[in-house]
Amino acid sequence: MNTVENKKNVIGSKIKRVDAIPKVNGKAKFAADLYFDRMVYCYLVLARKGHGILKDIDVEKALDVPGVVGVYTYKDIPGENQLGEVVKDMPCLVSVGEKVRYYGDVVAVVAAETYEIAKEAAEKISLEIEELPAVLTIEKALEDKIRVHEPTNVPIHKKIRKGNVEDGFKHSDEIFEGEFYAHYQEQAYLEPQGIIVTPDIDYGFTVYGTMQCPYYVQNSVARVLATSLNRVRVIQTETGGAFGGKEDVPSYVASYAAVAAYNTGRPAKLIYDRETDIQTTSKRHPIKSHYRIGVSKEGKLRAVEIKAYMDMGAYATLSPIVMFRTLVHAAGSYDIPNVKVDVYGVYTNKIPPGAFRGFGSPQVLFAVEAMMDEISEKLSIDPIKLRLMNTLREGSRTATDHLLTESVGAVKTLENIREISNWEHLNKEVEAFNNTHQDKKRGIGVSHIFYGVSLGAAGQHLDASGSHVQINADGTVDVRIGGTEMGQGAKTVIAMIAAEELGQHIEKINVHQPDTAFVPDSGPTVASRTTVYSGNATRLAASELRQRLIDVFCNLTGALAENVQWGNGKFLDSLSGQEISFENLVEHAFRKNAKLNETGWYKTASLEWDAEKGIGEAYVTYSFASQIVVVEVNLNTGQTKVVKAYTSHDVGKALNPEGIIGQVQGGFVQGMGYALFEDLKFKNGQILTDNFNTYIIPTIHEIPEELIIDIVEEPFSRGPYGAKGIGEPSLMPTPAAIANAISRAIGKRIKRIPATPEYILKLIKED
Amino acid sequence: MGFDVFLPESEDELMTLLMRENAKIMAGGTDLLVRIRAGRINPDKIISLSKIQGMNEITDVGDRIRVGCRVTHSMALNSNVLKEHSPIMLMALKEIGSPQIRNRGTIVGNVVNASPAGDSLIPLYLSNAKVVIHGPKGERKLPIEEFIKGPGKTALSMGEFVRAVEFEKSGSWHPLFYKVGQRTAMAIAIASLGLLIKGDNLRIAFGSVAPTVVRAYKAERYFKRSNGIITVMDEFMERCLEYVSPIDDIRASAWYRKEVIKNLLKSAFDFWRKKVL
Repeated sequence: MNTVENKKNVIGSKIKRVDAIPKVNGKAKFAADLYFDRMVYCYLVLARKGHGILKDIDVEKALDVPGVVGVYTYKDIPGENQLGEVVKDMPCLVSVGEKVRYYGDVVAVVAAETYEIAKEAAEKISLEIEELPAVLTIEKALEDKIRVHEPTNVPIHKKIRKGNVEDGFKHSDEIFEGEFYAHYQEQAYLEPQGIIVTPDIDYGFTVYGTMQCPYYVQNSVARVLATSLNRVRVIQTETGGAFGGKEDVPSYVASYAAVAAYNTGRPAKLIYDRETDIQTTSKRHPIKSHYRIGVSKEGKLRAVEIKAYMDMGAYATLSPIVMFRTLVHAAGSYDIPNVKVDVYGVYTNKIPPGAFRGFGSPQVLFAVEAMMDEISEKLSIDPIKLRLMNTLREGSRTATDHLLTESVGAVKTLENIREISNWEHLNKEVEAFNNTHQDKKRGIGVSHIFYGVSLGAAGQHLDASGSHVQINADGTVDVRIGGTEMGQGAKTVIAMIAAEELGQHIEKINVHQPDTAFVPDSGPTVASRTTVYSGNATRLAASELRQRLIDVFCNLTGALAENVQWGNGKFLDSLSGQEISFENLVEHAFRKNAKLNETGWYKTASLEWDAEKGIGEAYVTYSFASQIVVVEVNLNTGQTKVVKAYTSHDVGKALNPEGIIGQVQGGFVQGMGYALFEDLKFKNGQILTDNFNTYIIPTIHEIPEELIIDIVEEPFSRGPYGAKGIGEPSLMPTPAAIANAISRAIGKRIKRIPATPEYILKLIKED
Repeated sequence: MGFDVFLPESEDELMTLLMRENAKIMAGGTDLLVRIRAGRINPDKIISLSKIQGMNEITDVGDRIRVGCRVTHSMALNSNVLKEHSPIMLMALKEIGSPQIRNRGTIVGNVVNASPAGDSLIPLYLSNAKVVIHGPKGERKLPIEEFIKGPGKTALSMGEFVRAVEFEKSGSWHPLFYKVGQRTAMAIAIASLGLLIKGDNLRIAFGSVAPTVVRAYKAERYFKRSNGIITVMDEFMERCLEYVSPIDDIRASAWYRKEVIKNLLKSAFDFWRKKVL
């Protein structure tokens, strides 16, 4: 690994996950593990129709079931019957007389003494729905004849206008075009959605649950219950995976449970079964895109024109901000003088997609990288060379004309994969395989991506985070942040940062579950932003505390501040060699009534953005990655096996290299599932593949035997120790690299993901 | 939902319990419990075989092998009798589910479940298996093709259960087995193909492309008539495809299933030709 030398304490070193043991031995408590006295269990009643008018809700039979405590509908909502963070188009519970807009629309919440009773009663509620013809495809939605919402099915349009594309095409030697489609993807977190809302004396309601964004949940519950923010406390439980699927969705889950808790006056627990989870919660957006790229005969990109349509489903939810990322990433990691991009958000009578690791970008990164592969093939330019010729460097301007002045590791990642894959040799090896095999063919796919870190210009009003660091009298340290641990390793990296700054041992640092009672609104845990935002906030607070400890140390020893070193649980005067343990020093500080708690607040400078032209500083910085994948396609069955993969990521600075490897392995496998297996199937707007017997995700047997991960470091001056994000960039290059590898293996261009065996076999058969 | 579970300890006790209405036998439960959870069946009594002694043996009975109703896939995979005398069975069993499913699921359960996608059914059809049924009137044996009547349908009557399955040894035959699923492991077959070849004798069976697993007898006879040398692949193929009547379902289209069977047949016989030459 090419990581630069370690910082003086723990940053950059190999650390065991701080939350590993309770998660392995089962002591960690997830949402479903929590029980409260007099708790009721909830189950949801879904519309189960794609489009129509709700005429009547008959709850009689459900109320007759022994053990049912209540059935709650729109009439029982004390506050606003309104969910959604961005566009106010989604009811909490559909009202009689109003529209049902997709199969998973929630109509009522049943509360009962047991889960089984709640489920049985929910099945006994009958709904009268006057059906309307449903809009089930992007094409149908664009006709705008049947409307999901008034006044139009196409309410959102985002664009980039950089340079002059017509001019660019005129000065191009070759013009390439392509149509692509990327399907839905389900987040498939291990732990389904789950919330418990408990009436509380101190607060009004305390909410426990699996989530990424406690502050979103707090807002939503307060709105639906018509109460204030200081009457809703949200505590995140251990969270078994999220991948974006627990960004906005837990706000909805919590709102349903809150309606039950409010009306029963009892703690209300709502844990989704897998079918309810898949039928009603967000997915990756399907995107249809059309690309036109002009190049010089040497392979220099001159102009790109892109149109992309994304299926927002029945409600806009997070789509407007997802679209922003689609917009910015559509032209890839390349320096192109003339760019025109149009992204449209389209309503349909289907599940509303939302956030998913990559947030609208892998769909278009797959498309642009397929175009790059096509160009490389047709112009006979080595695929790595073509990308090196066009990629972003220091001094380049992105598609949105953002001038990059630092932390641009794109070239390094490309050079790195060429080296670690033994590129020339790998090509010969694949050629030799294909010469000796008839039924199976191998192909090599290359991809290269960039990824905007944090919320960017479209969400910068949320881009600030707090951290509260407190040193206790015994020398232990409590750290409270607003960013959540959902399996990605946030607690570990935050503990490392606190240990680095304070000099205390990492074992003495406890990073707590987020609790809105302790840390102010720190924005969402999304967009690969936690290391940068919560990390910087923690660093600010901890370094402030260290200054105070140094003062105490100097007072005690007579050392000069500039000679004081810290680490390994002690402070040291490098001149005299005198040292005091962290615990001892804290004891002295306490005796002097020193303030040993501090709040850090980190925000980034505001980004210049022209929304009309789509020009400006889209994100605070960008992560870069390059990947090479070798696949083997069975020509008899169309099945694809990923044989080898090499991937290189510019993370700015690897704070926790082990954690990064874990992220990249996970991202690779999830990207591979998206590229090959995960095919959400529908019938009349109802999802048919609503459990893992039919929704196929990769198992350990699908992981390539050779998955080589490497890191390059181009520090980001505003990141903690130079770090940028890795959570999402870990997935981004994979779908594109796999699709390109299949295209090379079969000699036909993959234009749709997932590239299922059936799709591949059809391509092979086509003339 | 909700059911009573009975744990008979003897066959007599089991026979008595089987006379009750709306009862289901559970061996491994890998199919049964999934169907109950999905609300597809709603038994009010589950009769578990877990406490019954015996019936978990794989026995060499001359030219045949007998597998008791409590033999799990894992037990079968470790059996020396099967390793020696039915390599085709091992090839199929390796493709089933995950270690957890193989540790619970049974071969007889696979038979009674009567799914056209049952992986162990292909070797049973190829090995002319007979299903040993025990009931109030005593024991009877039915060829597997008569026992399995359709998807999920069997010839079992009230009060009866399957004690074992018996099938021919095939150690001297060359086995070929192909399974196409949506991924390599933990996948339900979209299409599968099993062959046993010995000289000019061929047995061939398809899975997941008809209401039950099917043997292509016409193709087998054609192979025999051609003295084991297929010169016109199309004629052979035609006789195979007569038995293939796939449907579109959630896993794959009928087109894909048929196409895959054709390609796998071609590739199997290319392989065989090269091997014989």
